[in-house]
Amino acid sequence: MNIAIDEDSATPLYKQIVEQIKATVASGELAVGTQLPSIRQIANEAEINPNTVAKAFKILERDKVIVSKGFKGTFINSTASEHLDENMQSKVEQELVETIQKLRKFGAIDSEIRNSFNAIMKS
Amino acid sequence: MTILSPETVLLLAILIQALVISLASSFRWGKQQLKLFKRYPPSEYPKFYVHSIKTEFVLLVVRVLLDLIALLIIGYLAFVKDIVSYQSNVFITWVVCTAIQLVPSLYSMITLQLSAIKRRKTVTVRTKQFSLVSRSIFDHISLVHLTLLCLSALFTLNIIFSNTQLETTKQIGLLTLFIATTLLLVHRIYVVIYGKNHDKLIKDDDRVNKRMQDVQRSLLGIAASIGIFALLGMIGAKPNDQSIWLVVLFSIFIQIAILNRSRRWHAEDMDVYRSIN
Repeated sequence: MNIAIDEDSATPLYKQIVEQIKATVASGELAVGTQLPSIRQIANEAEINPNTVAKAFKILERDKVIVSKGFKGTFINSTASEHLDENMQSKVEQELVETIQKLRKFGAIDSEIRNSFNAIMKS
Repeated sequence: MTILSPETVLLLAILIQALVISLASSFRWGKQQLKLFKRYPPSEYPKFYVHSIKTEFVLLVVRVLLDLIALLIIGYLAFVKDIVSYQSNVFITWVVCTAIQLVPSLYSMITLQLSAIKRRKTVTVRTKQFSLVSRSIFDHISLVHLTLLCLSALFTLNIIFSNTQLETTKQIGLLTLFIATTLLLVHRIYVVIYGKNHDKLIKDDDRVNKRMQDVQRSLLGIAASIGIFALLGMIGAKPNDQSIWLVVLFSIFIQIAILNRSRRWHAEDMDVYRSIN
């Protein structure tokens, strides 16, 4: 069972990995409890930065699709199929829209919101 | 009554080795290469050959020539210089002859490796693939056999250091060589299992086959080096001590062999043996 990632695609590599792993879980190719390869194995095989794979794994773990069991490795979560539609990005965007609208109501201008947002993200 | 003197046996062993490594294997190598050229012509498979057909032929001819030169050198050393005599250091003689014979294989290994690097640079694949199957050393060797291999390595170290007839410098030299050989092969296994794909063009089945073959070769290499260093560690030991180690080694071998044969084989699908009634 292979995953193909396109370097020329507009979709970031980590996102391609996340989406394709979710797709293989949805199709049943990856069963509950299946062990996934290590970050290093994937990074070496695909010749991509290990941080990219780690980022994808972090997102999958947050979405409860995979579960990390320390030295034993990373496995497909028993409740993975229930969390395949999790889309954190849309949740974040929704929250931000609401917050920005609220701030504009208070009279904050866009550059103030942007600068404050950047300063908080950097801290 | 002695039918063959030890000297004749040694000479025969070295000559047979020379014929097998420098003639038979060289002939096999050349025949297979020519078969490949015929079956998969460079004009149709340019990504496989990397070099021009002329260069490929030159590389092949050089390999065959190196084998012939090795054979001539061994023949010269054996018959003209008479190095294979009972008085000379038998082991050193064998090591020298083997080293000469390994040069052509080493040459082929390096040229193939260089070709692989060149292919890697020329082939650009924008779509990268990776398998979602977790790999481990236990896909290639069972836990029991791996444990036995580790115990054998420790046993070999024990042989080397319990041999009081061996000087400390020689013991340390053997230890260093043994560790270096083993680590090199262990590193090779790690790279094969978890390392980068050197050939991005080959399909999954071929990749798995190659990986299996490479890991098995390295594991066999480790087993062979354990055996060789165990024998080297016995050099100069008292005959009784040597017998003890050999008895232990043979005993382990017999135990593994009998243990492996201690189960009656049966088909996975036993329904084929069911009574029809």
